[in-house]
Amino acid sequence: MADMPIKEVMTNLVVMLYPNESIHEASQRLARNGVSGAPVVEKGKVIGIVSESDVIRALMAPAEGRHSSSIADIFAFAAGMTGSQSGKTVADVMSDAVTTISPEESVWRAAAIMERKRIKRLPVVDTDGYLIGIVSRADIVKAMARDDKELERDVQAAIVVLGEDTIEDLSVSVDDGVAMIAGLADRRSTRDLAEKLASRTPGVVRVINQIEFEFDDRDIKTIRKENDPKDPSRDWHPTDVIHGIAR
Amino acid sequence: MQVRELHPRSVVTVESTDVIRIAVEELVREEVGAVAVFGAHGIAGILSERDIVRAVADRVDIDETTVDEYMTQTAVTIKPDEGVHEAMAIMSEFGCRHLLVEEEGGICGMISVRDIVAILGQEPD
Repeated sequence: MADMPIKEVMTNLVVMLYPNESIHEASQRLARNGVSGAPVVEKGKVIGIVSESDVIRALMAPAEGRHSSSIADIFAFAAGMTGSQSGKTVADVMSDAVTTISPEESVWRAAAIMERKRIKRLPVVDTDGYLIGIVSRADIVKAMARDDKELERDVQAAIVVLGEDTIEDLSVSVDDGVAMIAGLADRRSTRDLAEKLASRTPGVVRVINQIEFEFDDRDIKTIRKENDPKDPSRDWHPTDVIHGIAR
Repeated sequence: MQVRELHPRSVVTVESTDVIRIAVEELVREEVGAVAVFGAHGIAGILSERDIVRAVADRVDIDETTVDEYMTQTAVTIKPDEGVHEAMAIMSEFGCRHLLVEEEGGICGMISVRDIVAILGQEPD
């Protein structure tokens, strides 16, 4: 999964900020779009990047002629009033050393760059430097998660370990991490084992077990235990077992 | 403004011995940026998107590697009656994006830097 190209995991519709926008406007747009940062664009090219931490730093920074910012600044800012920081523009707070990445690079490469530079997102640019998308930490995390279809295959593979035809007409479907397994098993213990294997598959949250069984072998185990051949006092009645199997 | 007014979201948890894959699935399903990690003696740390990106960067097998190998061992907490400004100061001091909200010895929620920015960006009344 880490070898997937960036273009398959990046977000295409990028929230863009413009250098002359006020921070107030910018933070509103970040919040409204549910993103925590965005590239600053001029004529289609990336000239900077603004993150939540840049906005917060701008607010925490002492205003000119003052020694500390106060909560009043934040309220003033949030209320759109003339707080000591509210005159700032995106260009004032953005980081202008932007690292970009090509859409053909791998997810792994993006992760390595983010980690080394301690950044949360990389604008994706074409060979001419024009912005075509953005890849964030969240996109990388999503790329590493398996979707339901992949989980279905994993659960299927986990259960098949029991043997190809141990469960007749085995069907597996996964919906939001909840795996539903169905089919016909020879014994109850096989059915229980299949459930255990399914629930151990990473990514499966819960298993709904609809596998039917031909006979309940839990009682047989008890009979055999009671009739331990090593036990001299055993009272072995083969017919009991036959009854057990025949229900 | 107090931390409680940010309406801390409920905490998503994983076990420290879970493989990273489990945490990845939780982050994606619950749409959170970090999960609290429980160890044998309560909260053992926090595993965030950033820690997962670090694991990907290291090219480890996330189906084999456990959460405790990549989690951030300090889970920073805040009380619900503390100020949002205090939360911002703590986040910048510790360089973290998530704080666990602690009340009467228990963890009752989590706030992230995003919750704070959302407040800052609210429409003027």
